Amino acid sequence: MSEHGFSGHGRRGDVPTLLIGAFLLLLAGLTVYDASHLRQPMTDVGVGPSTFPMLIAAGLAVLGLLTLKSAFGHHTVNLGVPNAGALPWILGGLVANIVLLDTAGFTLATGVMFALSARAFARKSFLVLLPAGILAALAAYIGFRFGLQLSLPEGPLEALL
Amino acid sequence: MTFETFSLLFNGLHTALQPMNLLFAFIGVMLGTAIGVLPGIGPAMTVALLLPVTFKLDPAGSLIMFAGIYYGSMYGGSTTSILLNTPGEGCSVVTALEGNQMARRGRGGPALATAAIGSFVAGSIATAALALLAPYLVKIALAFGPSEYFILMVVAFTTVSSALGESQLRGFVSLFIGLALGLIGIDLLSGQPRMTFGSLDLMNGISVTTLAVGIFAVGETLFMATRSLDFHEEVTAIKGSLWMTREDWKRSIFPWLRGTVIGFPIGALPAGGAEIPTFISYAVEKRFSKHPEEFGTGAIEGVAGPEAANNASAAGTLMPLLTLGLPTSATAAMMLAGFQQYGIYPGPLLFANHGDLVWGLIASLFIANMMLIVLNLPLVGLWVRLLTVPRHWLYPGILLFAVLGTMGSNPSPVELTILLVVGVLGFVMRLLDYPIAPVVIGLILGPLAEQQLRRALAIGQGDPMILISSPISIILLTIAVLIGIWPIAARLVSRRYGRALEA
Repeated sequence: MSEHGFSGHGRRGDVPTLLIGAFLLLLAGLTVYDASHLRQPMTDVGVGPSTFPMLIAAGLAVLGLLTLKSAFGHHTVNLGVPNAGALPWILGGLVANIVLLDTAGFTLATGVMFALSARAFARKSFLVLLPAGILAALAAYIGFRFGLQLSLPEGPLEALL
Repeated sequence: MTFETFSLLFNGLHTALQPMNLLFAFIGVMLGTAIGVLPGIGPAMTVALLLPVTFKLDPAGSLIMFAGIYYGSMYGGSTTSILLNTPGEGCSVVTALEGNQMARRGRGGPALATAAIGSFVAGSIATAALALLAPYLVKIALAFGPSEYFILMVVAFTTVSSALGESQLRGFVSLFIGLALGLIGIDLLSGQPRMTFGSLDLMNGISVTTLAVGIFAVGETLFMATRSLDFHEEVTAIKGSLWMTREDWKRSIFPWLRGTVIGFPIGALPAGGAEIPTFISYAVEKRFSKHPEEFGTGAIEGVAGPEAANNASAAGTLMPLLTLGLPTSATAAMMLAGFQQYGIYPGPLLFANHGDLVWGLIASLFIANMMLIVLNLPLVGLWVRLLTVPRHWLYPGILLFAVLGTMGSNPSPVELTILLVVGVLGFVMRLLDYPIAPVVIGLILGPLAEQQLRRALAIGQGDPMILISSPISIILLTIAVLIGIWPIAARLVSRRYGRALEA
C-alpha cells in the first residue's frame, strides 16, 4: 500500500480515530449491559457466563480510551476514499442480493449483485453486465448444487433446471 | 519413537496416495493457485473462499484438498508478486522486491523457478520437521490443564496483536472486536443467549467462514473499488528461458536452506507473523551474498531465501495448530475452522483419536508440494492470464464466491446481512490501517479461551490465582508479557539509536 496518508491532527483530534474510540466504548457498554442480565448459575463460585464478557468489556473500555487519546497524537492513518462513488454500487448489490434471495432464488439475486458491483469498477451497460452476472451465478449454482450437493435458495430460474 | 513416527507417516502417505485423494490434492492445488494468483488475494482469503468447496467431502479428502489449497495459494501469491509489483499481503512484499526486478530484466522464469523449487525444498524439510517434532510437543501438551491452556491462548492473543500490525494498540483493538463478536450466541455452559439482543438469527453466533469471507473478501472489494478508477497494474511478461542456469542453482541452494532454518521455528513458536521470517531472510541473504550490489536490481538470493522462509514458516504454524489447537495466523485460523466443520478439535488428543487424519494431512502436504512443482512451472502461462483478468470481472467474481461461502454454512438472507455488515467493518479497518487477522483469531479462539478459563476457575473455586499456580503457566505468562512489551522496548531502543537498526 503506497498511498498511506499519515496525518497529525493536534488539538482537534482525528475524527475517524475518535469515532473508533467511541465505538469501542459503546461496544464495552453493550457487553456490560448484556452480561449484567445473565442469570448466574446456582453453583456460583465466582465464575459464570458473565465472567468472560466482563473481562472483554474491560479490555474494550481500556482500548477505547487509549484510542481516543491516540486521536490527538501524530500516528493516525487514514487512506481516504478517492472514489467514493463506487461504494453505493457494491453495497447496493449486496443489499439487492439480500432482498431478492428468498423470492428470486440464488442465481438471479446473485446475478444482480454481480452486475451492480461490476458497475463500480467499469462504466459498462447493464445489457452486458446483467447477463454476464446471471451466467456466472448460474455456473456457480450448477457447480455447487450438482457437483457438491450444496443446497442453495431456489427461485423460478432454478425450478427450470 | 522415531520409528513409530515413520510408520505413522507411511500410513499417512498410503492414505494420501489413494487415487481419489490424489484427485482431491490436485483439485486443491489448482484451485488454490488459481485463486491465490489473483491480485490482492492472500492465502487466508483463498482458504476462506474455498472452504465451502470442501464441505461435502469426507474429512480425510477435505483435509487433503485443504493442504493443496494452502500450498497452492502461497505459490499463487508469489507468482503475483514476481510478475505484478503489487504483493497481496505482508509475506509476499519481500519476494516482490527482487522478484519483480528480475522479471523486468527478462529473468521472470528463473525467479518463478527458484520460488517454486525453494518452496518445495523448504516445505518438504519443514513438513519433515513437523512430523518429527509434533509427537514431542503432543507429550508436553498432554500435561497442560485448563489454566495452562488459557494462559497459552493469552500468549497467542498477545503475539497476533503485537506482531501483525505496525501499532500494538491497533492490533489489540482488532483482537478485542473479534473477541466481542465471539460472545454472540448461546452460552454452551448455561444455555443462555449472549449479545443477541433478542434476535433469534444471532443465536447460533457468527460463523468463522462468514466473518473471514466478509472481512477479507468483501472488505477488500470495497477498498479496491474506492481506489481511483484509472489505476492500472502492469503485468511483466516472461521473457527468455523458464529454467534456472547452473549459476542460478548455485546461488539459490544455500538461501533455500537458510530460509528454511529461519522460517520454521518462527512459524512454529507462537511468536509468529508470517512476514517476519521473510524480512529476516532477506536481510541475512543480503549480508551473505557475494553480489550484494545486485540487491534492489534483481538478486536471485532475495527471492530464493524469503520464499523458502515463507513456506517453512507456513508449515511451522501447523505445529501449534495441530498439537495445541492454537492458530497463530489468519490462514491457520481458517484451517481450524475447516477442522471444526467436521467436529474435529485439533489438540494433543487429535493425534491419539484421529491419528490417521493428522498423518494423512502431513503426508498430503508432501504430495501437494510435489504436485505444485510438477504442475506450476509448465502452467505458468495460464496463471499469467489469470493475472490480467480485468477488475470489473475479478471483484464481482470474488463477491460471488464470498456469497457462496456464506451460503455453504447457512443459505439465508440473514447470513448475507452478516456478510455485508462484516464487510463494511473490514473496509473501515483497511481505511484506518487496522490489521484484519486478529479479528478472525479473536472470534475463533475467544470461545475456546473462555471454556478453558471457566474450567480453570471452577477447579480453583473461583480463585484467579489458580491460573498462575503451575511453573508452565508462569513461564508462558512471562513470555506473553515479554512479547507484549517487546515492541515498546524496541521502539525505545530504536529511538535512541536512530535508524541504525534498519538492515
